[in-house]
Amino acid sequence: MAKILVTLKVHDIIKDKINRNGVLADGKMQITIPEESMVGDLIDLLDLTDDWVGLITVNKRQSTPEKPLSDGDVVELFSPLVGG
Amino acid sequence: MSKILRVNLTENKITSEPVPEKYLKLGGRALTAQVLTDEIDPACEPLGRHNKLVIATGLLSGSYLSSSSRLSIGGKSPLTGGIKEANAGGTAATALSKLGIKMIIIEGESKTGYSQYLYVNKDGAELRPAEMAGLGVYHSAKLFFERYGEKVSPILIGPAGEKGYYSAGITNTDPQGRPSRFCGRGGLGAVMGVKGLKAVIIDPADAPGVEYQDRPAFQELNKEMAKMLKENPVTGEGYPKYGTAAMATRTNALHALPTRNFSEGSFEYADKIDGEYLYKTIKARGGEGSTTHACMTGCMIRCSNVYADSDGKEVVAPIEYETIGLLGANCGIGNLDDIARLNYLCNDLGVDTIEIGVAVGVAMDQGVIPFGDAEAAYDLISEIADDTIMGKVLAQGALITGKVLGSRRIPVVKGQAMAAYDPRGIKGLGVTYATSPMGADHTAGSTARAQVEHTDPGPQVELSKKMQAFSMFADSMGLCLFVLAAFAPHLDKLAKLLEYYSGIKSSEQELLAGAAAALKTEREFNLRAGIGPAHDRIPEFMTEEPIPGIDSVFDVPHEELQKIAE
Repeated sequence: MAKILVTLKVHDIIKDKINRNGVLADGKMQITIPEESMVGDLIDLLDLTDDWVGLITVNKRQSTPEKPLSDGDVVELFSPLVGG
Repeated sequence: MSKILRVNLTENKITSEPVPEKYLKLGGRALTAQVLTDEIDPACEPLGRHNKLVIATGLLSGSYLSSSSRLSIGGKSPLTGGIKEANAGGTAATALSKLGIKMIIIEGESKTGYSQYLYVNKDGAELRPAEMAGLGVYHSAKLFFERYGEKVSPILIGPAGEKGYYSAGITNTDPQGRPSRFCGRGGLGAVMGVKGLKAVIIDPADAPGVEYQDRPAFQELNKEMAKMLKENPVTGEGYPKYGTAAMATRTNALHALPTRNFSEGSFEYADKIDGEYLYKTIKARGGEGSTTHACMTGCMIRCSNVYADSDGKEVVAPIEYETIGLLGANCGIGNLDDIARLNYLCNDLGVDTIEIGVAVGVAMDQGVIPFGDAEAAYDLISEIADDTIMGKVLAQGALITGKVLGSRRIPVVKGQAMAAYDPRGIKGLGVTYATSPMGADHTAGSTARAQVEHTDPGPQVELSKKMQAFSMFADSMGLCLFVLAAFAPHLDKLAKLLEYYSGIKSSEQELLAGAAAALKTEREFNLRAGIGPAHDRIPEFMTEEPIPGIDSVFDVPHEELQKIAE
């Protein structure tokens, strides 16, 4: 199956969680995934359950787990914190 | 909690009253709404003698439950002209609960010609001359602690409130005595100030303490609730480490971080003012700084912080997202040290950092000072203390500042400045701003963490309606909104806790119905005050001027907004 390369950026507690699993250090990494993967597949790959991901952007636009990914996409994941 | 303290400043008379049956099941914001509806003419002058200030505890106030003792203060707002409630953490609500006081109603206006404070302890209450009149809140609080000991809880205003400025809030102290837990919004500090009241000192020494209907059952269920908070990633990890400042990365990504007077929704220095940067800065500097801090005793979330300078000396505690957004990005200021200094200055004057952040942004937009000039912003805000004309204008909030300076880009609804969420990037919050009886207030129903397409106008009214009810629910229980991240699916358990605490039997459905009824009470108050559906509008520039990056305008139709009240 053909592969695509996407950039993943994660922040604060998602970054901390992934770091605990020893995957990435600075919140940014490139991942090779099968073509026709969706954002949700990437989230599953990172072992993040629903209560960890509150906001997704792809190429700086809000997105959803169902969004199909293309080569070169930049995916950002944010946990569901709010301001006060 | 068995009594109401009524303080009539006109007659210099203090009475203790039993809590009427109709108020027993009401707390916090819902209680203030009902009392104001029952006792004042909604058409009254907000800064006149007929307005009242209601200082209320929530239904779970004083209990063991984490984050359950927020202080609610209600009155008619000089900013919105409508009903207002603002709440904060801190220690005062717990102290009131220990004394068995459900609320304090402050009415009339002093004829003494000098400023007073109210001292409340187990034996009663007394009005005393406030020789600290005119002083900032930090110095004033210090004097009160010196006089009455470190265990008292001062509820107080700064010089802005004493002068009746519309941006004035009312603060109370954190467990370490910092007077930085503000019931900030709506200008309620001015309502207190014009009554000639500088402070209310709650002294819980030798107080009878709170009573439980069923303490063992409460404790058992409370353990389960504590576990939920600990295991939830948001309340157990996110807030304790990064605090509310983490919101900056999210709003920046959504193009909803107000930047340079709401002309942009993302800020080039967002990563220098966000939660991660704040955490790293505080951690690296050490000294008196702390990356986590509880604003009230027993809070497990500990989202607050203590910000220290490069020498490790405390500058301000806490720095919160709204202040970062509005005194920071909205003013083009991308440096936490600058924001911390501005934050302290606003606190000491006793003004709302949201209202002043927006007012300064408007002034910058009109060329009074340049965007990004933190020194000029400091000097401008300092003019509030100096009583210059510009200082007086600024202190009256964003709307008056904008009108005086000839701006047509004033980000307010019902006279009150927007919080740090651009309604073109997060339209659900725009719906809340437009329709809440509170005016533009994010705490009245934040949709920011909902998993919807935030620029799609379609789902926002229903979403805002739901969140407005949730907010009223939390504000009435005395709960911090942040616990809802873990507790929202378990409101039935909160109902049980209420029963074990106070004997009030209710269900999740009844509590939410009560919240909806309280919102209706607020809307009816506003209608009688002359504020109706015609005022449920986002400023015109936000419906026509797209936010860069996503080309989004606020486009939820006005007729759709009216479904909120159905």
